[in-house]
Amino acid sequence: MTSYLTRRLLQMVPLVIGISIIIFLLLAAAPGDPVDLLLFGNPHITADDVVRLKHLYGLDQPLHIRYVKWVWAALHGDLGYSRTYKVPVLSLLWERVGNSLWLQVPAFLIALAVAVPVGITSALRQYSALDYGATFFTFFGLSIPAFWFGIMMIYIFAVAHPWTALPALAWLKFPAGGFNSPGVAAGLPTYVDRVHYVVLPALVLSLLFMASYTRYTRSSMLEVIRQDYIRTARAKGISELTVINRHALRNALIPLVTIVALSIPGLFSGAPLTETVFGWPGIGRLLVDAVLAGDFAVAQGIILFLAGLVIAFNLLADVSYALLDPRIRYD
Amino acid sequence: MAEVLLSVRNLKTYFYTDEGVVKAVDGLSYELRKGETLGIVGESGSGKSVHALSIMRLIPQPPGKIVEGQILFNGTDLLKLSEEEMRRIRGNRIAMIFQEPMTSLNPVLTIGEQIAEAIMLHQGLGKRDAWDRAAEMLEKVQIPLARQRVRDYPHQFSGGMRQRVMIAMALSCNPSILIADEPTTALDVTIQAQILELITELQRELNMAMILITHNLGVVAETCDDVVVMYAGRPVERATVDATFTDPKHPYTWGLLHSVPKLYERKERLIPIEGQPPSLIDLPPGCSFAPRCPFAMEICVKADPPEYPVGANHAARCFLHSEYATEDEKRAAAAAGLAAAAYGPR
Repeated sequence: MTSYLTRRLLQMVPLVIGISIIIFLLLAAAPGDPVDLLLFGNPHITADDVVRLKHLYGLDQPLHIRYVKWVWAALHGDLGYSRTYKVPVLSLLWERVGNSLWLQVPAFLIALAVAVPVGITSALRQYSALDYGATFFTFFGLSIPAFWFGIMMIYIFAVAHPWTALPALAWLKFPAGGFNSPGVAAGLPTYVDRVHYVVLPALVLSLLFMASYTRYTRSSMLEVIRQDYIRTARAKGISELTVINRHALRNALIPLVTIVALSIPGLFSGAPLTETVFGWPGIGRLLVDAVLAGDFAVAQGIILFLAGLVIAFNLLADVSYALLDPRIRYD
Repeated sequence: MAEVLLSVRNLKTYFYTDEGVVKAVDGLSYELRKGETLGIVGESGSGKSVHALSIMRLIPQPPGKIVEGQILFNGTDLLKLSEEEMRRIRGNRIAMIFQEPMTSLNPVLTIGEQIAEAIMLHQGLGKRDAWDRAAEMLEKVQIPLARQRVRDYPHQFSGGMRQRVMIAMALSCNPSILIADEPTTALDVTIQAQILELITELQRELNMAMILITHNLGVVAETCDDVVVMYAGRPVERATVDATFTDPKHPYTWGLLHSVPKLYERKERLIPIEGQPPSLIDLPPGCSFAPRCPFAMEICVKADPPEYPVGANHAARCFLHSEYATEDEKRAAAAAGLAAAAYGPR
């Protein structure tokens, strides 16, 4: 296992280099460099200023020199300076990743907590009303766009919420967007207050993942319960609950763990819509804003971060596979 | 004669599919005595395996259902037991080994866990004792280094070794009946004989009764006391093993005997049974074998033959042994029976 890990980590080096080149070239190929955008619509700027600014940002140098400089700085923990936010990219990135986690972690947990039991029950009672209900729900989840579902949730739970007329249900409403109520004391009260803000966007973000995890759990479980070894287990006289928990579930969850691990980076990269609808200051929205504003240093940093996530969780998926399935050994 | 351990009476197991009702087992009866081996023979789809799963009450339901009959084990009707009572019999009093050793073991659990599981459940042993017993069982089925190999996973064993593990698992609680559903079919020929010998040896040692399901007549001749020949879900002939091979009475049994290749007597060619087994959904009104039977008479396509006694402990579902057959037809049948017996593995 150790030698496998070492090999995999070494293999990542050329991969990361390749990804960084692609990211750099794509953003460099985008029309208009940062200075062009900066000057857009500003009549007071002279041609001399343009030359001076381009020299200041290093944009007058050839691509490969600019790439090497960017990589060299990045290796030293310097991802550049955000032109629009006027802070170093790295500190901006960390702050927004933290914000994003506030949204992603609950969304991920909600998705798993619903999907696994529903998927299993759905498979065990194939073609029952529950199974059809779950199937309908998964197609709903997979096909409903997050922005529409988000707006509906805002309308229902933040604007209309007719049930709040009942005193018992008066609490059942959530803020339409944002990250914290204004004027909340720092520390613990901030976090408690934030929970109200997390509920709606986390539900919206979890929907897609919940749907696809449910689907995978169901099909994986369906495949496993038809296996000969499940019949063998039943022939031993053990209870149906033990057959499912001990013999079926352990096999069914192996492919699921891989799929879940591989989908975690998608929780980050797939969040911009949800974050925009709910005004959540997360990393997805930052990426969209940065691209639109031509803040290329920030965009590069975020894409690099997302690429890193994909690579890391791929490795995690492979390793967890080996840990769960005794037939897989990397040596 | 030893006492009757298991008595199957008029068992009917049907599957309700979209295409219609599949009558997989349609009126099977037999008796199994203590320590005895009963062979159930027939081609694929004749209901052999479904009958075995019916005894274990492991028929997937829906679509399957045991619609009629009794399965008396020591006088208790298994079909009337609650699921919980049945679980105490499964793997404990009646155990089963399956055809496919490669897929019949759980890939993510060690061999020891899988054997010890049944022991802990039925014998009430603690984990340590159950693992000890599991290792003992592996030694009994002649797996080398059994004490270490309990910690191995199924994929670390070959097909033959896995079938040994299955046998160890099935016998771990000293069952009084072992149902072996084509236990050697999926194995290499060289391994088949070893496994069969192991099973019969352990059967003698533990004084177990066995139901051996197979389509291999050679295996039947070697190991069984009694034989039930099945066709299209029905028992067409029931006899002792001697009578089955020396004095077979049903044309289907003759066909099976003619289809056995022999090593030392060079036959010109095998004589296969022409045609295909019928669909179990729309069985013809008469005898289900009539369309393939070279001796079919007029009555055969009209009525379903009942079981006719044709000797001591010997019965055949065939009109050739009834008043419907003429003396000529009976003589021709007797000659065909002798010819088939001469071809058979004995």
